[in-house]
Amino acid sequence: MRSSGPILEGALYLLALVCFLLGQEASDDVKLDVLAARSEGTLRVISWNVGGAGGEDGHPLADASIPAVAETLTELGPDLVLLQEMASASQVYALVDALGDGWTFVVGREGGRRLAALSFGGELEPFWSEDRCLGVVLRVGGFGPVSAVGVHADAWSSAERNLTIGSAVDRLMRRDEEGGRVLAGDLNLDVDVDKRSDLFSDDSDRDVWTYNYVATRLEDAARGLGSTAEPDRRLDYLFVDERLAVITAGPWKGRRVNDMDHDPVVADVAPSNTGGTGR
Amino acid sequence: MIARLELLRLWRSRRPVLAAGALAFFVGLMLLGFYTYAQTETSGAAEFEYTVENPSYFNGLTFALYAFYFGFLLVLPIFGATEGGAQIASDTARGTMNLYLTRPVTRARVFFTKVAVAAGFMTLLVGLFLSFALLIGLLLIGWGDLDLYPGVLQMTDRHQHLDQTEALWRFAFAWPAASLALLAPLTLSFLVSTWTRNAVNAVGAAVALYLILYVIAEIHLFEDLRPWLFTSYMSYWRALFQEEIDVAAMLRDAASVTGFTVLFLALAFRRFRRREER
Repeated sequence: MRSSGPILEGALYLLALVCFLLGQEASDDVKLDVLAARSEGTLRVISWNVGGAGGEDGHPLADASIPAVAETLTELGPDLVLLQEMASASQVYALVDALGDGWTFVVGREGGRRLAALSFGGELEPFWSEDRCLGVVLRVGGFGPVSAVGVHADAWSSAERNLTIGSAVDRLMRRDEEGGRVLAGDLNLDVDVDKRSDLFSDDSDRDVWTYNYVATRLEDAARGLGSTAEPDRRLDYLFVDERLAVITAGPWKGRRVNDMDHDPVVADVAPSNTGGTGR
Repeated sequence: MIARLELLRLWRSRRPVLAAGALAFFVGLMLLGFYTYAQTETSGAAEFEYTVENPSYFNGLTFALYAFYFGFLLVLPIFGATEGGAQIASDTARGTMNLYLTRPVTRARVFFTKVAVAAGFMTLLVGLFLSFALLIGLLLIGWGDLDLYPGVLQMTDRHQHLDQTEALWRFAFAWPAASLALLAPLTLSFLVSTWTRNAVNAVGAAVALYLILYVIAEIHLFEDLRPWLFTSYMSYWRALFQEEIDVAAMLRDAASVTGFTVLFLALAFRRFRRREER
């Protein structure tokens, strides 16, 4: 009896090869080309943890990195920047000096370090400042006033993160500026799919609750657009309310210098009644 | 004839009864876990009551999905591995395989009949498990719309809402999709089984291999290895529980996991075809 075994075996190898080829994805890289993408009538918001990874507990922005940060911000031309991990108020002054004319700013605190809100061409009015949170109202041409809160949540304690982020959301949701609401910053939690967040959190369930507390009220502008921090984690977020439509958003890669470990997260938003396309 | 014989042997082995019992036990433990979680962890924020129409997001469909997901990852592959071990290595150890091959049938027919019976058994087991989890969810908790939130089960990155009818359809589609995915550990166990002459070794090695590959695929530090591990693709059916299914991505992952299945099958068949029976 002639064996059909080798033919069958060959057919199986061939079938496996076909399956593997069908399973290939052309490219799953999501690259944000914010410089090309910005269109008229949009508000550009940036959140950036500019600290570095060196040392026992990381360190705030190094003075040597100020020119590079200023260059990136100038290139992006944002309406609102929410920075975390500034070393001191005087360093914020130094950064604004490096940025040149037309910038206004407000400084908040996060432990011994500083939060900052900056605007190019707009006016900033603080409405709330407490440890790790800074709330401002942005007034810029073409938009109604926008309320924004910058946050840098605790890196080690999910309970602390929950309190900080929860209170920031509550505070923001009580504002009713006609231009909309923005919450952005380094939330220090990562609930993205296909990651084991429990390796980096003392209570990943609590982080899930915390994230959902925000996400059920505001839209996560850079959702699904990749990691923002080392190692391959999405820790930096930019949320907007329903009055703002996200035109384009995501982490802008390749802008870190020295030992910085976070990418800036950029979002261009427009009033939702102007028919923003979403992401 | 061979198929009938294999089916009869499968039934008489009591493995189906054992598997069904173990899965029922698993669902019972999940139910207990859900109940205590709702009582102690959520301070009453999540409901866990005996209702038919449970308005909470935490309802019988959520329960069924949780139970099925963890059963799919951690329990069903073990039965797949057991089946592979039992089908080849066990027959070899007991001398049944020698007896089999004295009959005028090709090795290919013997091999593929065993694979088909095992695959059919796994498919039935998946369907039974899914139906049982849904039934328990309906009877003890109550169905309702299916709401999924980010982080939970790592299934979604935004809030997903499916109304009850739509969600039930998705469960129905999940049956064949999950069954297809489970063929990969099943055929891996066949491959291991063709290299051993002892069922315990075959099952142990197949289970260990599956768990190692699963853990490696889960740890993001080994992200670069993921494309080369079948465990990275097995949970592709979770996409069915999105409001808008990314069909192309789902089919790609289904093709990848099928590729591994067929490759393991080819390698197992090669070994089975060439090995010398003692």
